[in-house]
Amino acid sequence: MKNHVRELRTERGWSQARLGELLSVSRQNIIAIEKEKYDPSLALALKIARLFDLQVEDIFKDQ
Amino acid sequence: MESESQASITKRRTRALRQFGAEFVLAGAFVAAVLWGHETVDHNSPAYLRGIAILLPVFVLTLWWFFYSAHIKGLEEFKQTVATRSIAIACAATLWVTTAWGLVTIYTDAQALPLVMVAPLASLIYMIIRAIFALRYR
Repeated sequence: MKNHVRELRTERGWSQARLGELLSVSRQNIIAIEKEKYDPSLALALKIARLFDLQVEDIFKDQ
Repeated sequence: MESESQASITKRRTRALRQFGAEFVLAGAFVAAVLWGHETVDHNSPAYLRGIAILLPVFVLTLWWFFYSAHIKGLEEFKQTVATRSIAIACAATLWVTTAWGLVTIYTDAQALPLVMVAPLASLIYMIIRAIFALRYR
């Protein structure tokens, strides 16, 4: 699944570690999501969307 | 990849080291229990001693299993996914190695793999796979 997490994070000037802290997940988790090697669970996707004040489908797109 | 704070690195490494240490102790205890039984107990030993030689490694293996299950349960979703994938791959790799080893022993003079060593072998394969995953998501 494609996503815009990296762009959204860098727009806000957050490091991967900082985003991980805000979402209560590891930095490796953020790396894997940004590299699109791992699709987050629905719960985490919703948490990410809430953090960026967007809809889930604005951040995550089907291939 | 972006920089990680020193405190975060230290915390992550300490946690990993503690986990590795605990597993190393359990793996060592299992191998030690198996070797103790192998060296000191045989078919002519009293029944209670043979019972200990069987139950002690099984007990340590059970402890190891519970300890690792609790560890996986406590992981965040991503690490839990990686751990579960690694276990699946390690199981398949262990089957492959033990089957190949079995075939080799049929057609050559190679010694059979002691079945009690399957758990440490699977654990070793699992650790290698986890290390590869860790490098991939660094």
